[in-house]
Amino acid sequence: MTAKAERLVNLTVALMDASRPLRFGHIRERVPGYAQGDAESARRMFERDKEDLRSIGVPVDTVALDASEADWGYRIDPRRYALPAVDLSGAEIAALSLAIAATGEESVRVGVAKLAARAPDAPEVTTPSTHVALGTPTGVAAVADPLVEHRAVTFRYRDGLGVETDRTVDPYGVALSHGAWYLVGFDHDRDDLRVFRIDRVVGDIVAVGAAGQFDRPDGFDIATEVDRPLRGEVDALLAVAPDATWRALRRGGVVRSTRDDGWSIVELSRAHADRVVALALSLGPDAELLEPIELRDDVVRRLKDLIRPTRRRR
Amino acid sequence: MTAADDVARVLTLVPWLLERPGVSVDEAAAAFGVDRATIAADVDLIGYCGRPPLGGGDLFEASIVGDRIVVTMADELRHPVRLAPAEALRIVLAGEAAAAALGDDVPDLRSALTQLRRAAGVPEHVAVLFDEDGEALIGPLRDAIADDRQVRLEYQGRVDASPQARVVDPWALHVTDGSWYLQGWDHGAAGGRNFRLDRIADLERLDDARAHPARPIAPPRYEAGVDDITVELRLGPADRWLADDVAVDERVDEPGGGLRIRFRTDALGWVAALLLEAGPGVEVITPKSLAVARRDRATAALARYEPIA
Repeated sequence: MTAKAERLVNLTVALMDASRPLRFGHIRERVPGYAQGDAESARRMFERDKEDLRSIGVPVDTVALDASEADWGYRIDPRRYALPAVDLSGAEIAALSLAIAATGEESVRVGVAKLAARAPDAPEVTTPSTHVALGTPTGVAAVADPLVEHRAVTFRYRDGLGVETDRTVDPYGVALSHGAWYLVGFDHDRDDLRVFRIDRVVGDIVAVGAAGQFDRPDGFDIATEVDRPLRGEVDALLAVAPDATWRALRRGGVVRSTRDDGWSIVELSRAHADRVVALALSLGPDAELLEPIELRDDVVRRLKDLIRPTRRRR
Repeated sequence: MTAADDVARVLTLVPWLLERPGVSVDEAAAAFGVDRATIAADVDLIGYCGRPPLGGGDLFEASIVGDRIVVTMADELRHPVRLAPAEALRIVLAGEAAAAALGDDVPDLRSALTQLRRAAGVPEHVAVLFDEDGEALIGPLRDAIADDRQVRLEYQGRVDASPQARVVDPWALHVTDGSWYLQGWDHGAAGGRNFRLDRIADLERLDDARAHPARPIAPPRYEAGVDDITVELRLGPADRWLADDVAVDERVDEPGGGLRIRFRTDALGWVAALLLEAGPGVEVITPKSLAVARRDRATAALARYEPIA
């Protein structure tokens, strides 16, 4: 392990230090670790090392040294290697460390250390009393490059009804909402903006086409798009039993008055119709949806459907 | 940890050390989230690296003298490697999640993320959203934690018929799967517990100081117990969301877009309430008592709307 890490660091320095692209033969002479064994296995080792360096963000360029493209050289451009100047204060570095402590995201520790390397020393971070778990969505890493490079992606998607289709999407952004990860973008097959749950992607997300293919529309706001199913225009009134009133309050309701029988009249304002019906149904016999009348009818119809003798499907 | 991880750390450690001559091993270990032995091994490795052909004057100088680290002659690596897009995105997402969870009181985090986005080209369009259920309790609970005060909760346990009083030493708030939890010492149960904020019926701040110091406990996760009941449901295409709301042990896709799921629960009443939210497209395979409970609950609910003459 150590031998390999040492070889990769020396390879990085050699490719950055060279004034011209280096042929593999030259690299083999100059960097310890490639001289042993036969040329072919050394070559394969070099190919793997090159990919390992790229995987951690080191820009190893492959350059054709003649027109026939039979002769290749390799180099690292120091300007593309180096982190651009980011002028963070010690307090800002401490804030990023606090974010690691609050999320437990040890995977970003080296990234934050890159930002901290040339910044003033950060004040010590105390353990925050609020924690948030991000989960490990593999699909999010796969859309990172296309998102930054403005490239389209394709993937196979299983929608909420279980139907699978192939999609081609311009990725506009990602969101973590209510515990699930979402990709929002322009869906070429639907010719419209769509929100995709990343855990419903079947297989890999693959970048297609060239960089810089699309622009995000003005006024696009990802929080609005992802939250759309939860927001609405409905103002609803429910009568709720005294013991269950708190449940309606935790779901955003406000008590407007109390009925003679002790039940609370709870108002939900600017709510989505589905949320209103779901709340009334989940409270069961502890609630009565009073307004709007169409949603009240909807609740009655759904309850009747549940009581009807079950017909065996099959 | 792979060799690539080690290389990523070493390439960042060198410029970090060049800016901090004589820094202690402990400070470096804290900044990189690794132990002292890893830092010592890294410094040793740096001493074997340098410019080709690695002759006398080509090697980097790296040593630990009396717990102080000194690296010189490594000017080629004075800059850290630029952030890969996935790396920058992950930092931004962690930062956004922390900012959302910690409230608005983090101006330094906001400004750090703005600069990072600009430097790394991470689009503005990254968002982290949480449940609003129970939101009104976050402020008072934060204050109680900060002021080191006990609280009394009226808490609706999954298996209780109605909310029960609990005295809790509040330790921390936790967001898991988008939902808010309070972690703290439960005096009645004499142990660390998680409480879902949307099941707290009432909250009262007490004058007593916390008796049990905060300690980390596992985030909330449903653990099946020996007395649990196994539930099997057949979901219609429109009811597949239900599989996201329970800890599913087995899920099998069915022809036509449906789904069959199996899970365990200690609170059949809670599942019956959930089934009322779903439509008649959900078929209860087992247990039969759940199908009966659903029908009884729906009948009682309907009586609110259409009183039986």
